[in-house]
Amino acid sequence: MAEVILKEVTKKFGNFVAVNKINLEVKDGEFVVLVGPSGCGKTTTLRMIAGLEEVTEGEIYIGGKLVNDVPPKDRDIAMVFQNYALYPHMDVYNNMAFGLKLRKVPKKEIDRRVREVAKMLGIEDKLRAKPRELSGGQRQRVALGRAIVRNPKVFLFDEPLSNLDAKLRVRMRAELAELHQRLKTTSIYVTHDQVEAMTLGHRIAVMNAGVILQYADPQSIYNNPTNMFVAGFIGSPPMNFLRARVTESDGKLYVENPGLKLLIPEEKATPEVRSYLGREVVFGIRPEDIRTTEMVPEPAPETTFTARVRVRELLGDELIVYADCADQEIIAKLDPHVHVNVGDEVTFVAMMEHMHLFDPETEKAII
Amino acid sequence: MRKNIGAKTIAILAALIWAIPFVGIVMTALRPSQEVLYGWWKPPFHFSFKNLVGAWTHPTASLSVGLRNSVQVAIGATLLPTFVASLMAYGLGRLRFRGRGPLLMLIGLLLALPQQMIAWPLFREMYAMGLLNSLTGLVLAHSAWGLPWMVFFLRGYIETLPVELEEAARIDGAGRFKTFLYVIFPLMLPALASVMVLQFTWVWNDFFMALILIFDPNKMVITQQIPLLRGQYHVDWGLLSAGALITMSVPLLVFVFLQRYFVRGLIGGAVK
Repeated sequence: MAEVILKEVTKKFGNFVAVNKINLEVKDGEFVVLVGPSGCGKTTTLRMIAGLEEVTEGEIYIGGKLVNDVPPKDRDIAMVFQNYALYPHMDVYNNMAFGLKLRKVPKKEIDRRVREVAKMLGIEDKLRAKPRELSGGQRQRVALGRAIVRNPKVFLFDEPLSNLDAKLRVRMRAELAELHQRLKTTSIYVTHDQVEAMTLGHRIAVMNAGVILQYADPQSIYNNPTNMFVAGFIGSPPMNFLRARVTESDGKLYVENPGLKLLIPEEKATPEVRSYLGREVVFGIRPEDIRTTEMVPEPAPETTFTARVRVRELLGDELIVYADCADQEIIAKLDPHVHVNVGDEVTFVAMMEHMHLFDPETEKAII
Repeated sequence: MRKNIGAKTIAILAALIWAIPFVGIVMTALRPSQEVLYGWWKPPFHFSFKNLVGAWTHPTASLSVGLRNSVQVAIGATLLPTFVASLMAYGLGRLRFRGRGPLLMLIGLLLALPQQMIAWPLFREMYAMGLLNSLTGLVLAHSAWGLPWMVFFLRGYIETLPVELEEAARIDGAGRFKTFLYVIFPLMLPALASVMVLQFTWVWNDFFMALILIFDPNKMVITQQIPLLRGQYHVDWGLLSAGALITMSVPLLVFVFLQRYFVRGLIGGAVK
């Protein structure tokens, strides 16, 4: 077990900067998820930690040791690949034993460890099967087993669940979480799936365009995104962003645009917000923080606005509504029992205690 | 469906036409020359192994000796370049180094070189190294000549193997060479089988290089001995055909044994 520290790490491919001066600290035993859209540099970052890509600038430490020039085999890490990368000519047993054999672990010990891990993962009856005879989920387990059996300092996961079907993915996600509870090995996990990130990570690093935009625990990332990208990337459907102005009447602050005028609650009306008075801002509010008067019969004053429903998606346990408020689209995640029809002019209630404001130029959060 | 039948008919016809000379050789080898003189299909049919035995134990050009030499040369000139080419192909397929492009181009150019062009330089170099008139020399010459196409063929195959396998091996604790040995090499077996069948057949059938490098009757390979079976005053077609039959039987056997892998290697990356 070990901590992993990245200091000002940069990776360039020719002139293209894939990863730009990132700093990351993963504590001993922590499960950290790197999340972001395709091409944001998350996989490159993971591959640099693995030693599969050279670091252009900066330093990577594993267990307090600078590993920039240490080959992958000497970093004492294990990696699970997206396509599993099982050795097709070896059976399950040898796939798992390969790393131990190369490290000259005694045969008896190898046998003991392989069987123990196989049992833990429920593949003990598949030890003599070749990878092609296994299902996707079983292959995934073998790939995990190959990593676990080595008992490395750090686990690296490169989108390990993205090749599985939806149902299996949910199950393996839970199993991964359970496995980490049990092994407590430092883990770094790359995914573009925000649900995986939210459920697995102790901390999440949201990346875009080669930089880490926010690094915090899942709840903070969700409740207090530090910029518009993080706010829009985490959460589904994404947060609503509406152009508005900060205005004042009777000493109270409002967000206002042609379609709505909503009171900024007192605890949110900080001096920073006040400094934007009269200026344009981006008003952010999550779809689940928008209700209807049917759900909130007595809304707080100055928290309602009307919008015309354009699309209605009933997902069983929730109702997603796309509505037009003046010329801007607003998405609401509602109780499925609410009576809303396409074309209706509906009065919505904004839960303003959960509102966000962003600077339209820097895209950084104001509150 | 109809198109299929047409294609099959053409294929069978082509195969028959291709087989006619082979049938002729079998007929000539196994029947007395008087019989064959008036046409292959004219009865009576009397089969005997006289010609085969005659070729095998010929006093001046015994095919048993030629066969032994050919087997040595063909095996050596197959295994050696296959091993070297697999290493080269791995390097050229996977490592990124300065001059890789030009090197590949050079190898491509070597493929276009006609064998006759290297006859004289080859003779001189072998003479200088004292390898003239030796089976080792012939093995080396064939190995060198076979390397470019083998490298090309194997490199193409290696590029179809997923890179993640190698990365997994590197993380598991293997260096470059062990990765090659334990992961890449075993996965290349179908391609290696194809390469070996083709190279073996070409080396076996070669006449030209042997003609340049070997002139001691005891070291001659089997293809060099067939013409010696002609006889001085008349052409003994029966003996010649028997010699040809013995000669072609070996690559046929090799193909039959490795056919399974051979076909798999040729369709290589197509089936994953």
